[in-house]
Amino acid sequence: MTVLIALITLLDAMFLPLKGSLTNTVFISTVAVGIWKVTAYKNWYVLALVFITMATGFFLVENGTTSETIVHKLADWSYLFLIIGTIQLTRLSRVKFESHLSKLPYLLFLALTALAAGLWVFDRLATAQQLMQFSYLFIVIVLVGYLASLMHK
Amino acid sequence: MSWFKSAVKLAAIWGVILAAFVIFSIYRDIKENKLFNYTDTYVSSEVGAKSGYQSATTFKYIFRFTAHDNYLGSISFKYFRLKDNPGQVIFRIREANQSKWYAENRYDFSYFKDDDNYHFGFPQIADSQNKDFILEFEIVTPTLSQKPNFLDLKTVPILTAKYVFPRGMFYKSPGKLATILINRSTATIQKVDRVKVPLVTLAIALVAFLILYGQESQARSSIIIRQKDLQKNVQLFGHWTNQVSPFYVPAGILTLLAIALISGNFSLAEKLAVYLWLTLLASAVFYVLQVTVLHRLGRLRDFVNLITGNTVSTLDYLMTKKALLVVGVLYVIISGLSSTYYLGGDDSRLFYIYPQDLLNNYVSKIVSDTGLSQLTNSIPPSSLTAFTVLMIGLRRSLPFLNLQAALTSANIIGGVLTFYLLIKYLISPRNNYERVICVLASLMYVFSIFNFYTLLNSRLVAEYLISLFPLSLHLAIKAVRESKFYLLVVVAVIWSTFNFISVTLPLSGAVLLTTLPLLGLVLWKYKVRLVGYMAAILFVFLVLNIHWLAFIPYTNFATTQPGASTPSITSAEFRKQNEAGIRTVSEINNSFFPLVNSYHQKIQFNFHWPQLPIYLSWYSKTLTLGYLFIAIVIWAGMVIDKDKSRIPLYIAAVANLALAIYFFTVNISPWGVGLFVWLTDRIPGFVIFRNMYDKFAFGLAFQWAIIIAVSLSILIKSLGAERLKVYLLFCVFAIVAINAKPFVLGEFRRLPYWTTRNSYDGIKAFNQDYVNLITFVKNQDTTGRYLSLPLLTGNSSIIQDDYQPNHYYAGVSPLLVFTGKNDLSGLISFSDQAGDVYSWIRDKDYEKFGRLLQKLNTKYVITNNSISTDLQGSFMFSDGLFYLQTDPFIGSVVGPKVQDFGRRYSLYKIAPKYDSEKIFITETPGLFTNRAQLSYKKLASHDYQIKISKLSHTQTLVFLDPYLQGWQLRTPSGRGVFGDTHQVIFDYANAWELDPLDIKANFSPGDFQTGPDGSVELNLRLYFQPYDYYLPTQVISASAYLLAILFVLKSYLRLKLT
Repeated sequence: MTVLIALITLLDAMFLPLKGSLTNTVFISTVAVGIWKVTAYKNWYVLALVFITMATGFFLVENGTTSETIVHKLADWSYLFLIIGTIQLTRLSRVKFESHLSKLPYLLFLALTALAAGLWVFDRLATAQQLMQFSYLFIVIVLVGYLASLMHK
Repeated sequence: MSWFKSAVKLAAIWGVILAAFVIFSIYRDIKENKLFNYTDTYVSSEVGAKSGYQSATTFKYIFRFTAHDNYLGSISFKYFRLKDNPGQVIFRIREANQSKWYAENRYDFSYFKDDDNYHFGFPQIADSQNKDFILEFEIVTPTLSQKPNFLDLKTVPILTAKYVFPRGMFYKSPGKLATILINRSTATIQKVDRVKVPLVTLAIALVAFLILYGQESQARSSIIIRQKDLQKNVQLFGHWTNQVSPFYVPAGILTLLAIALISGNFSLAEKLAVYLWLTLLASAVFYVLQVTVLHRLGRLRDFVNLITGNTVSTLDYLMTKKALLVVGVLYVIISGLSSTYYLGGDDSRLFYIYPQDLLNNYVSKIVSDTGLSQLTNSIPPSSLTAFTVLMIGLRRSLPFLNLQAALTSANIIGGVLTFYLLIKYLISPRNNYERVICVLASLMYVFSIFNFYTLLNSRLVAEYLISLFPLSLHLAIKAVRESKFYLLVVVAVIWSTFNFISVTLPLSGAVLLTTLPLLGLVLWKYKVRLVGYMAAILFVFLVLNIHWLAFIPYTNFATTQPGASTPSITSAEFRKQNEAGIRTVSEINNSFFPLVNSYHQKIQFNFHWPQLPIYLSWYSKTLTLGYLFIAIVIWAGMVIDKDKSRIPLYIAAVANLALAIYFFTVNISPWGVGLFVWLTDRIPGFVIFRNMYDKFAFGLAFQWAIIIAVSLSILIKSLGAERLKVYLLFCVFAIVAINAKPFVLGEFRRLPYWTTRNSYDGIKAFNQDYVNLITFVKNQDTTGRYLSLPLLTGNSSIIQDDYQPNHYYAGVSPLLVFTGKNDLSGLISFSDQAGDVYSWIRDKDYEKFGRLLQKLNTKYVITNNSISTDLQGSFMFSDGLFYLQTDPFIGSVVGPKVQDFGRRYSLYKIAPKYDSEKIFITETPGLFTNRAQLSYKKLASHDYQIKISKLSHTQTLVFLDPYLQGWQLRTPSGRGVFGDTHQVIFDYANAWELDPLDIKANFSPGDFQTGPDGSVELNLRLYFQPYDYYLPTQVISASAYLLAILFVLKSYLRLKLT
């Protein structure tokens, strides 16, 4: 799954524009499926390192707008992979140190994401976008909550 | 005698560094000025100069000077006003004892449009040395003004000569070349800063000494690369450098060749012969390399180990020494001896020199003239009270110090120290490496490009966040975790004094927002106490700041004031503008740059930021080094299972960084911009972060330093080999030093103003003409405004330094601060009519502009005649504003001249037809009448005494000050009257309907008199009612400060004693 995500996001960075329907689809599906299926945090960190390395490489040989977009998208993905890896690390830490994991926040996040994807399929782009924004915020809140509880494991 | 040896070594290193600096400076000077073009300068005492009219259209300057050298080739002057009018310059030169001109050239004014430093050239005069010359500089223009001001005769140097030697001459006379080199070297050395350069080079020498001889001189060196690690290197390189002979390979081929020959295999022998020659050649090359380079790799490696090990040890060693604190204090004091102030900008920075004037004429006001060169303001000036009082105290107790320079240095040193203490508290260093990591993170934090571009560049009060934010965070965390409420009170006092909750809120709020994950992590266990403390500290904040919070309803922040330039931030219009602005700005941002610890690139290119030359020459070249930082962060995540105790801190630090990068960039993923717009629409007050690339920059500097400290401490634990730890820390240090270089060497300070080429910040004193002007204005008896011409784009003024002709105060107009009288200095001063004013000037519709001046109660006009050509075309006069303000324009608004102040300033009365009174009475609203039936006296900015006579029918009383409901007309007995007729007039001012019948019917008999003709005579008081709260709120806040300080002292001492 990690390799698949790497390939899809790499293709996205190389060939898709910064915005657009297909870009949105790749974004939603990759993040959602990734968080759901790839729980090994190290995989995400490896991806983050690989993508920022590629971004740096492209920046060094940059020669135009196309390359600029590629650098931008590779960096964006690296940033997202770093965040997802950290979320998975947080989750893993809770499992290890507290022997307790509430899947509810993740299920909520996935449900919101799936709903957003569904709305997007049915052309309700504005609502889907707002829902996804809620989903973003939700993840941040979950992350902060986990952090707080982790401190006193 | 070891100390003596050390001193000699230190002196030697210092000498070498100084010599290198001087040689480099001389080289750069020669490179910039070209060797064969020798530039020489003349001060006014060496030049005879006179000027005068030749005709109605001709003005002539005549100079007489003696050439210092042979081959005189060109002359230049400091000139201005050559490109705003049509005309020609005629340049002539001749020997004083000759009647015929040696050279004569004509130039059109437009010729000087893009060159402020033009050299008037002529064929070289080979034997010019010690000869007297006459120069003529003749101006021919149909628009010659009454007081022509084309050349700057007071500038130093008054003229510059260039001697252009033929190249062949140096071959014939090498002595000449030597003389020029010596002269130029001497001139370069004389230009070197006698305080800064020795100090900076001494500091570098000290660090270099510690790095080179740290272990040797018995200094504590706790981080030493073990022999075992060194051995590995020896094994790695030694084999190649000492044992392998490159000629073994051709020798082997020769053996095979011999065998092939003996065995009769000639075809193989033929091929081997080719390889023999090739390998022989390669061996020879390798041998040369071995002898010259590889053989020395061992020594090179030892040197690298010495440097890296000692550098890391030195960092650890220095931070444990109290002597460093003494050095820091000395640095602050020495910095404070500087005579240069960097004044201007958005907050004028005048509080460093004139805090008392600021307090008297601006900060203590709650109404009328609450905006510097503006009609209204967003935040009451009284929010600056505590900070201004602090500056007054410092100024009086340290009168010999340059407060700005001293505090800036203290801020930088304080930033390193307070961040060090904070990060030490958070990661609790377990060994020397982790202590070094704390030092590196502290240096990385302060010397971050994000700080250079924002806080340290703008030099606003916000810059003190650098030292005070880590301190506040440290104290706040300790307060909650250790149940020490008084520490939180210290934070409240600091944040209130330094305006972190008022004018600086967009920056302090941004860094606080990005630190929330960390705060959540470290304070969650104490959440109940936290809630209690938060409630208590909110109350403390309220009482500390009530003296200005109470007056927010009367600012543009709360409600859009009539005539305000921008809609209130709560209005729908503002939100719409805001969304468009966010999208425009953020769409060019790219997450790659903050991920490699660099500033966004495209925004610098698109808007030609002033820092762009430094970015192009340095940061863009070193940008990819920042890859190491993000790699360290990710790498730490991969090995974090080896240091499980740091997992929570790592997660919090990554969350902090992720938030900071997102808010700084916004344009991340397809929906990043949409989310930011959504937040600004939904969260009240979030709009203050709309210029995200600026507001979150400091937060990013802070979060990068935190994450690097945490990640490095995790990595160091996972690394086995000592040498790898040292190499890694050294690399981080090197990159931090590389990033700091432009700031440490003062390159940012030497940048000219944006869009100028040769105009700089940093003045020693306001020029004497300006000082005379403000002294005169201060003593003028008027309540009206002043118009400053030429108008700038912003509400700003440009004031020339008294000592350095191309150094200026450029920033918000300081007239109100110095004189208590406000001015209109730029388009922004006209608030919502700024665009109209520009159009009127451009379309030569001066009448409309004059009428606006009348509405704004403009009484006098100040003309600045000394705007340099460099500044005339700059962003300060955008869209060619300077060139639109021609003599006819100025002539249309000025009346009789009051006085000249040197050659720079002239003061005029406003043209009589645009004259108006601050308070007047009129029969027709909208028309100005200067009736004698009303007289008034200004008692204070909130209080006027009015006397009206012969009021026989309903008339309108007009008060030309921004409309506020708090303005009341009161009778002598104190009763508010005519409140129901209070209305807006001229789209911004106050008006009341005065009906004599109403007066007779409702006023107390003692409050008015009736004349024989039935008209009414009465005295009124125009009073700003909210002023009733001024004194009480000031007393509450002052008492709160006092009590807070006493509480802190008492709590601290009690804790200390127990």
